[in-house]
Amino acid sequence: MRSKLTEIDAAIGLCGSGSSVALGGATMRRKPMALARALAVSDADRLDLWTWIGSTDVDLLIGAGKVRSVNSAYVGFGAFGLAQTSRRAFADGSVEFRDWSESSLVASFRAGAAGLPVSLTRALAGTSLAEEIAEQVDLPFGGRGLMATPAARPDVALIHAQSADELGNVRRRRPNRSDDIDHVIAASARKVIVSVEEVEDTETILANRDETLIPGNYVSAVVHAPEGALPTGCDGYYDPDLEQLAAYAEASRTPEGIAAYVEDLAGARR
Amino acid sequence: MSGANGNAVWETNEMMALALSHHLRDGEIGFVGVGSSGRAHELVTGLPMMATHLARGRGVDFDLQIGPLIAPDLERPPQSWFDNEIYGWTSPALIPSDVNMDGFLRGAVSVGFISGAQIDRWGNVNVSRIRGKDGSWKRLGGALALPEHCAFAGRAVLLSDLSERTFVEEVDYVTGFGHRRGETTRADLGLPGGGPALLISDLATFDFEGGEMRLAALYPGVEPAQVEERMGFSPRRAEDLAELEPPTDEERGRLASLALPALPY
Repeated sequence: MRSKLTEIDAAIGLCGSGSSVALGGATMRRKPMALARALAVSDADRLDLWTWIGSTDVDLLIGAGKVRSVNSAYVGFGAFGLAQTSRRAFADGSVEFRDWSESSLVASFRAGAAGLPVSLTRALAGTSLAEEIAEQVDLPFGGRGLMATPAARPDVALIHAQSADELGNVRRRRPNRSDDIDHVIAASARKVIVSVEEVEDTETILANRDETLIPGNYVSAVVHAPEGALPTGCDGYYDPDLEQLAAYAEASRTPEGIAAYVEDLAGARR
Repeated sequence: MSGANGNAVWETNEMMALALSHHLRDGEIGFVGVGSSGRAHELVTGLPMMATHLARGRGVDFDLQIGPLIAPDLERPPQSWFDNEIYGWTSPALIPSDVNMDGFLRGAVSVGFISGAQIDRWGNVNVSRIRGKDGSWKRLGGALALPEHCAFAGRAVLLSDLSERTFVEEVDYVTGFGHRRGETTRADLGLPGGGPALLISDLATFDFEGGEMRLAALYPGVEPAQVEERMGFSPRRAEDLAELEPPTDEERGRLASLALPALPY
């Protein structure tokens, strides 16, 4: 079988302008930040982002002017406070925010993974969220009054993992302290790019099959990106970097600050 | 903050935890989220743990889950409130997050603990967007699982400090549905859970008799007017408005034995 090991910019080339891009991880854990940084300085724009719980990934891509819409149950930095670039983009209308709840967004990714065009939920009944993303439907078998929401079927999913082999078999190793739905997001996407702390031998994957989270046949590209979740954490490798998070939060406080941050990113990669 | 009534002196979080603890029942599961920051984090994460610890001291077998972390050992809390520490907490299971959501949907959560940037008379809660005086919208973090707490939990418990900004006649945006909005009720919507049943504030507790927020019990030495002047609407008052007892020395000792980490801000 052919190796899927890919340089990061070539992998990110799978995300074309106008495509929908899903981001794995949750809040301060295993956000695909190396991939998001590469996307932030790529030629792609007008992206429709999908993420269960967004943080620095969504905020950075908005700051880089890459985003047309965001589908998520949250964009913020958890205990570190609000995502200011995202808040400005919401206030000035430059990015459309479609707000979901946690279970309705899980249902949406699951529906996409199952090849369905819609998902069903009761969670949004009576809420303002429903006005933007849901329609009431009357179904048989006790399904009166359910709400239908669009299925998530992202063109590309970006996932950061502890390790994978060059065939793309993603291993979730102990310790696992994660609150994410990466396996569901990966299944919903047409293509999956995985960045990893370590590329392992296939023999190691075979010997630890019970820890395989995402099979290699779901995956289009594997990128070796040590510390690729920073400033968010990656279990077993590093915790969230408080200094880097503080620096990001400070930069994102003003339009000039985030612009300089993105410019520095681009400069560092030239 | 604290209050005094004769010799009875109480500290706000202790009093809130004590009031909450009396509403936790044997055999129930409470769901605590970790997505908030600042005082909200203390309210919806710290106080339910304190209340659970108190209830257990009285022999009530009430259990918690923290997001996907099942039955954390309160005797062995984490070193900090960062999620890498929280999800490393000693517990028998950390279930996949999508499966965790399923539990909410099928009614496996007895009690959900929530707070809000805005809360109205009917228990509708907004954590999403606030409309400014000039009509512009300001975004907060997002819904997270608040809609699920309101829709599916056997009952939702609101935890909030009183303020005119928070307690509004009508929320700007409904993140979680309470008991009524306009003419629409929970029954009309087919919501399976119980919705808001109780609100624990820093001066008093409220119930939702008939779906409408009602002042139910005052903390020691608090007058109803003190409560009402810190709200943006006038709540009904229970006819048998009670005054709660302050924590006993034994209860304070038990709370002090709960070594929760300090807040990171």
